[in-house]
Amino acid sequence: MVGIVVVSHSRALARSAVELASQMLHGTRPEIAVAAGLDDTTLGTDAVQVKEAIEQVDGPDGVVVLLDLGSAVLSAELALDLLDDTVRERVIVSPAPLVEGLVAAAVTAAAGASAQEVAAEAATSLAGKQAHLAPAADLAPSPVDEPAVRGVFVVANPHGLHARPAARLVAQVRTLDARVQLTNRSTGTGPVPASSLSRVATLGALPGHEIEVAVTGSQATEALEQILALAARRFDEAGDAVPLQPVSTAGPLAAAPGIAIGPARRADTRPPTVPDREPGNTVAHWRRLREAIAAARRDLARTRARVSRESGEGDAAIFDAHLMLLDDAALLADVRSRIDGGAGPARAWHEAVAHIEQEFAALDDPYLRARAADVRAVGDHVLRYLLGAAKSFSPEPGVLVATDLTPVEAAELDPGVTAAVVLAFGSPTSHAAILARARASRCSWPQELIFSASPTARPS
Amino acid sequence: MTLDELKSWLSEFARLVAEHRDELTELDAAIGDADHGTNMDRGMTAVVENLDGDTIGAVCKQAGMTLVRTVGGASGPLYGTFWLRFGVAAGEVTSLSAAGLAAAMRAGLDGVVARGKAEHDDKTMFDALAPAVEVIEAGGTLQAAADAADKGRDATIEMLARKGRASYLGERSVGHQDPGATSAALLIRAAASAMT
Repeated sequence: MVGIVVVSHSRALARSAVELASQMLHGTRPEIAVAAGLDDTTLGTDAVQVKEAIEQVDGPDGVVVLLDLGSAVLSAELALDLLDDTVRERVIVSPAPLVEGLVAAAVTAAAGASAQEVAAEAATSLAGKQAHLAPAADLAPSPVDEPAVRGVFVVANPHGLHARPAARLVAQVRTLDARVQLTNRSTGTGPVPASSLSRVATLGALPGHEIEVAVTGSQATEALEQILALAARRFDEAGDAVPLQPVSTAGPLAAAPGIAIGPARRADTRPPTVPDREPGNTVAHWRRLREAIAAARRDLARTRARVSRESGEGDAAIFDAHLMLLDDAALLADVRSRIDGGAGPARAWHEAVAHIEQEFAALDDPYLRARAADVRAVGDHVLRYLLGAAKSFSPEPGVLVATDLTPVEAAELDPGVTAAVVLAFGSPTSHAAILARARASRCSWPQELIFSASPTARPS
Repeated sequence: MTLDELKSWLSEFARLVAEHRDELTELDAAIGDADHGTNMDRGMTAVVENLDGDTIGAVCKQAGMTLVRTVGGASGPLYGTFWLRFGVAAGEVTSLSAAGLAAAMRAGLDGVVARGKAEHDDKTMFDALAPAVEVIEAGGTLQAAADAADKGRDATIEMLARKGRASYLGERSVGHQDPGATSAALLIRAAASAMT
């Protein structure tokens, strides 16, 4: 069983956190050691104490270390330096919040999970609280006596008013003193604040629906004009069809045998639109970017842990390159200099990633050249967090039709939803194909996945 | 630098830290958790209680591990790593040439960077330590190095903190001298006093 170490400035805090987590444990429980305080009352952290605590709970399944803040991080890293190589390789220092992370880690470890899974669960342990509290902030009503200017537009986007057009709308009015509420007059749903992308999604605004816009604030009229103009431009979404260009004129290539029947469901996997202007100063920009990177890292770590469990370490290693890019010092330095130069986090990130992608794409080695797709996948993943749309698409039951899938998208396909996949790009040996095939075989799908480079695929 | 000079350096640093303890804590109170003076004083007092190693490497390792165990704050692992790496670079010898001292200083500074991931202008001890090491590497005197460290320390006043708890303050950290850079300047000042 995985061992757990709690590092804190305060011995009392660490012991109480362990007590709290222990309430959740029944029957077998993981070993939890505390390395906290210089003594019972002096606040501080001690790297040697951390090292000894790790050695105390260490075993073949490894150790996950949870910490509070500041010197706890430095002491834990120094403790790794002080450990024997064989022990160090089994230790994961978790960036999770201490209390939530410890509870999640203790429960997961007690269930016999690997150190990677325990760390992944701890890292996402804030999600419940965030999901619970975040909508409340978005729902703050605008003052009722404030007069609103109103207008109506008809949704012309082929996929309706989904996250990306909504994000475009939010970005458009962000710099103005205006609060925007949307109501779907065709279905009677709403009003919802336009600033909440998840709430906008609940409008169910499909092509042809009438959306009423109510704007309050000192620049309400200006904001309304801009929104209606934006809606007329279909929120700057390109065209009404994803250009499905063939990779081969020899016809479709099967990536897996089998037959699947279902309605075609087109996934819009185009990269998000990067706004020209983003609010906030450089400090806020940098912080937003780091939060987005952390969120993407949590997704990747979680997917990697599951793929490792279901398909083995070989397939899971596909994600290592993605995780490494998120820690790439040169990339982060480039982004930082762009932010210091006045760019918003999304634009800075997008341009810095595009630069690396171009460098890869220009290489002679075909394997390295193919890594440009990995760079783009990770880049878009972080970008979506920065623009407030975490998931690229949510497949509906049927046959998924897309230009291409990223490895994460492929690995997260739900066998109960997607019967088959048809791709315009990629190949039977692409990362997406490998991961989707592995997922299909492990889950005993009734129908096999078909990967195909089809020049004629069009959704029904 | 002889073994005795190293011990004098550490003793002088402990004396300066004790003398400036309240000043360091006050600086830390403005942008941190108000414990830098107390923490460093506790750590360096413990270091001078045990200076009986018989090589430069042994004394530095002892000093580094003592700081790691007794300081408690972020300066524990940072100063601890400085002395641990300094000691490894110096080796089991009883005196260092000027070039050897420069190399050991660089190794210590690299350790601080690896541990704290700080860069120029992040408003940390690095901003005082790095210019001093550069002076020593260029063959300058320890006095000149101490002056460079003081200048680096003063420059932190206008910087925006990007590391440690002060980074939570963002723009509000501007206008305050960094406590870590202040103690780092004392470290180099102590070297200049002990080895002239």
